[in-house]
Amino acid sequence: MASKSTQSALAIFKQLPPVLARFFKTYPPVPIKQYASKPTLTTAPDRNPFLIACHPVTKKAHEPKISLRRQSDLYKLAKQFGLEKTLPPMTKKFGIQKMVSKKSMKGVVRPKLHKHERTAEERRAKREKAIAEADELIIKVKGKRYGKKVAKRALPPKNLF
Amino acid sequence: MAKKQKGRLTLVKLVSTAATGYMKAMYRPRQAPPMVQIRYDPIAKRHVLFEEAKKRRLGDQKVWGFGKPLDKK
Repeated sequence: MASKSTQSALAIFKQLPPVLARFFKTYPPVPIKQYASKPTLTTAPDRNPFLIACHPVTKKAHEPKISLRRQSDLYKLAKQFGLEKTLPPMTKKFGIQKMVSKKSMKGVVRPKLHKHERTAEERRAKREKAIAEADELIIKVKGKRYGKKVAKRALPPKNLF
Repeated sequence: MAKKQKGRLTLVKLVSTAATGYMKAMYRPRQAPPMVQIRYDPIAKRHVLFEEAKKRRLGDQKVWGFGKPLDKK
């Protein structure tokens, strides 16, 4: 005679939608059967239907038994009954996990900016250097006389009284 | 058709050496030597040297020699 827990499990199983029930019939839920979390040989007993598998003779990769789109459908359906953890491990992510695992775009992490923004610091440094050396340049071109003028300008103003 | 003759004057652009991008344009005789001026740059907020932005094809420059003639060394 079946135990009480088995009976309740069977009762839940009968309530499941046919798609999910059919899946669990072919691939029993996780506590009953363990599935590989990495790609295996196609002949492996723990072959995961959600992952690709390698053929032992031809060495060719076989597509997952269940496509990514159908994996999504199964996951969403299983989640409605709180059975998402009984599905074989899958590479596909959902909800917050999906959001977190998303790789940020290059433009978001390091924006390209406008050219004037990119070169602003460089131009500012160049301008400041040029302004600091302006007197020297004028003296070089115009002669020492201008140098005297500059020196005079630097002196404090003379008081008349 | 004959080529159009160039005018006597040409437009030159004087650019601030303070690297502010401030510039002035003025007419100069085509054959005149390159111009250098001290002018006020409102971005640098001071007087700086202004130089011609582009190279020009200059005419034969007259050498004003008040000293010894060049041929007598």
